[in-house]
Amino acid sequence: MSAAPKSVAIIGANLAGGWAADTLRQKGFEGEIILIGEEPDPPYERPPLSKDLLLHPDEMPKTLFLHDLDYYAQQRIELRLGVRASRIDLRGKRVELADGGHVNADRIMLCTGGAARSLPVPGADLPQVHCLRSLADSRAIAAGLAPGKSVVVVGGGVIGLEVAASAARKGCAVSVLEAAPALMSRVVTPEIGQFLLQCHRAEGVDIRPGEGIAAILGESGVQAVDTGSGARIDADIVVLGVGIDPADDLARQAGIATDNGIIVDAHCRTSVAEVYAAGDVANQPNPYLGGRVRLENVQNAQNQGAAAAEAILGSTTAFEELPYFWTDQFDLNVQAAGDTRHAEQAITRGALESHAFSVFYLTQGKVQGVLTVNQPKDMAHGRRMIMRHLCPDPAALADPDSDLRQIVKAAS
Amino acid sequence: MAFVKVCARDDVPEGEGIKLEQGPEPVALFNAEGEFYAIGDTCTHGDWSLSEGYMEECEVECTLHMAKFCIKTGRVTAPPATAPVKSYPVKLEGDDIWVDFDAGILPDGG
Repeated sequence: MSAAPKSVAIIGANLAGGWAADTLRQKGFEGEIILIGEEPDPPYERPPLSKDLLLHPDEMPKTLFLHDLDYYAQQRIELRLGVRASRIDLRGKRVELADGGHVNADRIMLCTGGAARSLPVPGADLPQVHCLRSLADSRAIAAGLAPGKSVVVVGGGVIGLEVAASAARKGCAVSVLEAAPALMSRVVTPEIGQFLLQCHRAEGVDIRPGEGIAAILGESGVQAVDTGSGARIDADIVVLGVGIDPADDLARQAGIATDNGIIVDAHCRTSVAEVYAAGDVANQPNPYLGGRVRLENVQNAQNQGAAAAEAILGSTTAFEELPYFWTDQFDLNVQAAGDTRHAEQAITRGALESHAFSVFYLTQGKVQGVLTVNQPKDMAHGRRMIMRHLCPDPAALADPDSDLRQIVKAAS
Repeated sequence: MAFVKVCARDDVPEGEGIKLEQGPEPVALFNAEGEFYAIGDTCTHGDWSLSEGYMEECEVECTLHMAKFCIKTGRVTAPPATAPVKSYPVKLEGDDIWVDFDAGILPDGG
C-alpha cells in the first residue's frame, strides 16, 4: 500500500468533482484539496440549464450551485476556476495548467466530463447555432427564445426534447429533427418514444422522426435549416442536442487507458495507480447493465464522484450504481431506472392517455427496469424491486389499485 | 407556541405521510409503526413535498431526486439535498394527533 495521500487534485469543477471534494472533507481528509475547472463558475447542477433557466433566465434556482464560494473557503477546498488543465505529469504527480501554473498532488481525480458534439454540416458555425452543456450555453439560448421565434432543435434525445418543450412554453415555433425513427431511443422503448412524440405534437411541437440535417442556411445569421430530404424549415436559432463526447484527451495523452471515456474499475481507479476518474467521463463496469457503461446523468456524477473520494480514502466498497435518469417535458415528469429497453415483458400500470402511468420491465419474471410518467412514488418502489432482484406478480403490478409496498413485501 | 390538533391517528396510514397546512410552512407528518413524526414538508433541494415521499424505517426519500431526510430530526441522510428541514414536536391525545407549528427546530450542526 502506498502512503496515505496528503493532497488531492480534482480536474473538473463540476458536479462529480464538487461532490468528490466535499466528500473527501466530510469523511475526514485533512490534506490539501484542489479543484480545477475550466468554467468560471464553481460546481453547479446541469438539469436546470435546459428547463428552469430557459423558461426563467432571470431566476436562479436556489440549488443551482452545489455550494457557494464561502463554503469552499470554509472547507479549505482550493478552487482554481477559469483555467484548463493542459497536461498530467504522472511521474512528477503534477497537473499543468494552461495559464502556465501547476498543481502538485499525491492523488489525481479526473472528472473531465464531456463536450457537446457539433455537426459537420455547412452553417454549423453561424452565431445562432448552439450546443447546450454549460451555464453560458444556456444563457445564450435563453436570450434567443421569445414568442414568435422559430427554433429548430437537432436531436430528439433528452436534452433536445427538454429544450423543445421549454422553447414551446416560451411561445416559439419549434421543430425537432431526429435522424432515428423514434425519440429518446437510447433510453426508452419505441412505444414510450411514440407516447412522447404524441405529447410534443399535442403541445404544437413539429416533431420529425427519421429526418436529419444537411445544412444550416444563412449568410451572417441563421435563416433556415435544410433537412436533406427537400424540406426547408425557417429558423432564427438552432440548438444541437446530439450528445456528448467524453473529454478523455488529457488522460489519453498521459498514457491512461481510455475507450469511450476513461476506463475505471469498480473503485473508480484508472489503469494508473493513484489516478481516479468519475462522472460522465468514467467508463465503469455496471452490474445492472452487465457490461461497461459511461453514465451521463446527474445521479451518477454525484454518487460516483463521492465514491471515488471514498476510494481514495481507502474504502473497499465497489460502486454499483443503478442507472437512473429523469426528464421534465411540459407537464410530464419521466423517470427511468435500470434497463428499460431490452426486457422480455413490459407491464403497464395505468393508462398512457392519463399521462400518469408506470411501466415495469421484466425478464424471466425479474424486474430489470422501471419507467414512470408523473408517478414518482412508483419509481421509489420500482428501484427497490430492481436492486433486490424481485420477481413480483405481473397481474398485481398491472393493477393500478394494488399496493406496490405490499407487492415488494410479498416478493421479498 | 401552541399545539394544534391536526388529525386523527387513522388519517395517517402506516408507512406513509400526509401534508399539513395549518401552520406558516407546510409540514409532513409520518406514521412509522405507530410512532408519529413531523418535519418540514418541502425538500430543500427541489421544492417537492416530502409527504409524497417514500418512507422506509426512519427515513423519507424525496421522490423527485432521491434526497433522504431523517423523519425524527430533519437531518439530510442522502444527497442531492445538503440543507436539513425542521422537525416539529408531536403529541398524541387519545386518537388525536397534535403538532406545534411554532416550535420547529433545525438539527444541531445542520
